[in-house]
Amino acid sequence: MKSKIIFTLALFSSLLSLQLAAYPVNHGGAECSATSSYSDELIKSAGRLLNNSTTRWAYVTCPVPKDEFSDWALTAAIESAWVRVMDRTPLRRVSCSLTALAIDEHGGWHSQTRSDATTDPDAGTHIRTLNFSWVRQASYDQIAQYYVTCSIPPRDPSLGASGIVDYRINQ
Amino acid sequence: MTKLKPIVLMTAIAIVFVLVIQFNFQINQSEVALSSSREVANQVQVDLSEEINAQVQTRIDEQSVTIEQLRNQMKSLEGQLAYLVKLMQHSDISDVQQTSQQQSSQVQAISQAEYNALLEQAYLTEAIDPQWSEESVATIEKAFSEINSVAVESIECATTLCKLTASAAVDADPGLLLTQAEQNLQWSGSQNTSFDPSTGKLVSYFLKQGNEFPKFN
Repeated sequence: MKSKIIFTLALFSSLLSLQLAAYPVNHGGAECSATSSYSDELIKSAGRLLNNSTTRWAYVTCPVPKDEFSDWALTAAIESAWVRVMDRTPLRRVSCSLTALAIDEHGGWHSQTRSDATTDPDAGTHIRTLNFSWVRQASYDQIAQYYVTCSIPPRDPSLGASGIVDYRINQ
Repeated sequence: MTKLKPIVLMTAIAIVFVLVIQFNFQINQSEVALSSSREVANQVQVDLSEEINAQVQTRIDEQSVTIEQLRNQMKSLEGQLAYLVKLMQHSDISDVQQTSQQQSSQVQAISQAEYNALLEQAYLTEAIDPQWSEESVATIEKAFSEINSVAVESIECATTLCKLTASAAVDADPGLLLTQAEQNLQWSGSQNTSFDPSTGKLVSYFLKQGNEFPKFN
């Protein structure tokens, strides 16, 4: 009897973990890191990543974990994605891109990138959402890496620091 | 005795007469009944014929629908077979098995070479917007001139698509190259890039913001 209960619980938890793996999660902007050599003026605050420099742009890369459940199901593309940014600049110049990069066994590679930017100067200085539609993984027989890159303008003396709040990738 | 004979004879004649009349009457009745039965039989025959015709027509209609459905299924299977044959020509059997499962996602999977051919076709069929083309060529040229690992050979733009052809170092890291290009270019639309190490050629397509690349896995 005991073994039956344990077996049932194990089966249930396995199914639950598979089910959970299929749902996308939000990643905090603090998971991003500097693409360029300097990172001293990037600050992580409440899960966000902010550019505290008053003079330099920050270029950051945010990892996108591949959904193994999707790999198993051979889902070969990103369905949609979004990045929420804090754009505290007069011209709203934070921009982000989502890239799928696949490298084959011969050293050849293929990539597809989608970009979006906060282009509305009247949008306010709080959180904005940059949206990305479908992105091709490259060839169906290759495994791609996904990543998000963002350009963050310098801190505005009166409006404050801009940065990445969080992001979500629906695979 | 002689007086009785005519009476008996008359009675006998009367009885025969009555019997003949009765017999005639019965024959008439039988003829009427027979005629009526014939009419009923004819009517039944007509009704049965109509019913059988209706049933046969219904069956024919049903069979026609089934045949049409089978034809459609046949067409679908022929399409799938052609697609699988096409895949077999480009890949091994494991790819075909994987791709068959991918089809359930309703997005067709094609090879990178086929996808690039689609982009090339889209680019070649576009008219040229002189102003956008000139501005975009200048922007892309400037951005890539600052990347050491890439030697630009040509940049051409049409209305929504630009095509860059370049030579790239085989050992250039694609992630770094793409990031550098992105930072320099700040392209607001989508990009699709392929590098072939056997030729050292790098081909990029840049899509104007608000437009979509073909949707294939």
